[in-house]
Amino acid sequence: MTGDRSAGVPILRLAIVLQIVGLVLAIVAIVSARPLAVIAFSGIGAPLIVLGALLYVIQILRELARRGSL
Amino acid sequence: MELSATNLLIGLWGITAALSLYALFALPRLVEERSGRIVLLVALLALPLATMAGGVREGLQHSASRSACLNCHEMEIYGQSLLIDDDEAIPALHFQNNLIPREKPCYVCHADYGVFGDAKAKLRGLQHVYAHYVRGAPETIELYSAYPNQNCLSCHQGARAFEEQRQHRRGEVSIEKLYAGEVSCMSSGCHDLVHAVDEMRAGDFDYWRPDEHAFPDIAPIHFEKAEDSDEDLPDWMRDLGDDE
Repeated sequence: MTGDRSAGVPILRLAIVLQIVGLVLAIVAIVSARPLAVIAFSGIGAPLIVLGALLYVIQILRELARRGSL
Repeated sequence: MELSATNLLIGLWGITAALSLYALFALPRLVEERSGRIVLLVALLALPLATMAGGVREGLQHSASRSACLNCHEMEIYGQSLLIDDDEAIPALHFQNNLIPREKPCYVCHADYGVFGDAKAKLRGLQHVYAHYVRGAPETIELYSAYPNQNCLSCHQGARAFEEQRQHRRGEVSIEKLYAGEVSCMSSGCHDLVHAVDEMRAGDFDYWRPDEHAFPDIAPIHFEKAEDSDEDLPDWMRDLGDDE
């Protein structure tokens, strides 16, 4: 049981790293009024955060499927 | 510290970032515990998406601000034109008298009126960033198309002072033609003094001098109106001045 759950750790770790990169771009856009910062966040940062959230959701669905709950 | 939406968002960002870092280092333990999995739900789904939504909203607001437009040096003189001391200069008149929001005067007047006006303005903003960083700004900055009357009329249409103005009902001009866009508000002889950058460079204007910290993003003005000199006067008039 423990080993099965740990199998998802690399994906979740990747999700967190993607979101941290997105969050760094977010704070630059929030604090700075520079157009380039806003574009970098909208074009790169926000998609990375969404991608991280998607990876997390995918991992939950895989876990539920593994348990036969889906 | 002021409790503004921006500060709240920065606070939310701080909590999100701290929880993300905690989740990154404690991940193997968190996936094993029920409470840990709840932490992951908050750290990987709820908080990042909320912060992202707030960040996008904040970014869109930033991109409409005066300081964002004046961030590129090509726009410097257009910001300075807001301080022209002349009632005929349309942007300056509106800006100095609070007839438009001072925080986003460029956006209010240059985002087209209508359903897709805001979206078009954002796309044009992307073009401007591309021009600034990649293609290079053109030597002469011009509007993509003639300034639409609708941008003026979004405020002025139906206003008594506007409709009863004699000049809006004489000769070629009629209220109906203005509303239909058949006669431009900026036709020659009407409201044709706008940003007037050439005249500014030639030193044709005085400038409004508010508190020096009032508009820190508007660059200091170096092209002062030339002092009245007697160079253009005929010799006999200059001699009169010397005698005094």
